[in-house]
Amino acid sequence: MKNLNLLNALDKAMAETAEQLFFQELSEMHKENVNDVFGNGDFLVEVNIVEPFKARFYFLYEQKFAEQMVTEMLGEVIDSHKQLIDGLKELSNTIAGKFMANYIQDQQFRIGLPNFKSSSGKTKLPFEQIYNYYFDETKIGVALQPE
Amino acid sequence: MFKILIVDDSATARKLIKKSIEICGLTDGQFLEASNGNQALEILHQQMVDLVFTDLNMPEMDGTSLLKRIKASPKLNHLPVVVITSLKNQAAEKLLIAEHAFAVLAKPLKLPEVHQVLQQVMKSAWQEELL
Repeated sequence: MKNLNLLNALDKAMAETAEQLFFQELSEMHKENVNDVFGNGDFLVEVNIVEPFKARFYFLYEQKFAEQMVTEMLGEVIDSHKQLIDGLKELSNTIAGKFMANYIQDQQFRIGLPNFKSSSGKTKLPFEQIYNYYFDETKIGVALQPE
Repeated sequence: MFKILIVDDSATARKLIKKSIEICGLTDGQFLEASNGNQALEILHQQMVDLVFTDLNMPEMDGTSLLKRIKASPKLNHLPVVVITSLKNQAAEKLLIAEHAFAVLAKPLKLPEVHQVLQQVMKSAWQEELL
């Protein structure tokens, strides 16, 4: 299989995840500059790419969509914040892994364990551009920063 | 009763794997869970298990180390180990099969693939029983 470029690999990873976990098609994707700050109860999950290059994935989940996404993924109503965090970490890890598998076929790669962050205050986001993927009336923001 | 050990540090992933197996027809299976390779080995040394599903990327002991430990153990090396991972590409699959993984499935799971693996495991279990 031919290796895809970065954005194609990400688009494919998002489309496959949406289809297989949520039985939905991606309805829209657009890139935007991040002018806002992280906060208001939104959630951020970081996943480090360790090998064969170093980079960091950021997955941004708006609070109003996060619970709905994890509920749909599990097929049952979630009953704790711990379950929500675990679900968002697993979702982020799956997308990051699928991205890498699409991007690199002929050598092994390694990614770190997902790291969850929430913010009660206002924090500047550690990236400038974000790709927003929309499906099933929900949204996942994805940014990839080389280290 | 078929006993299946699911090893993943994510409770969400363990639940999704269990549901997929049940949807594929194994409704009367007994499920055991571990959140890393160390816990899995403890369980495997305490009780008989028919099949292991393991993630790769886990704290303490990862799935590759668990697979190697199982295959190096005369007591456990007969066990089919199915790796379920978001890290599956051609290179990873080749390496894991060389380490005697029964199969390597990508996350998110595709039900036809789970069904096929379960059929293969059952078939080889019956064949062993007949011998």
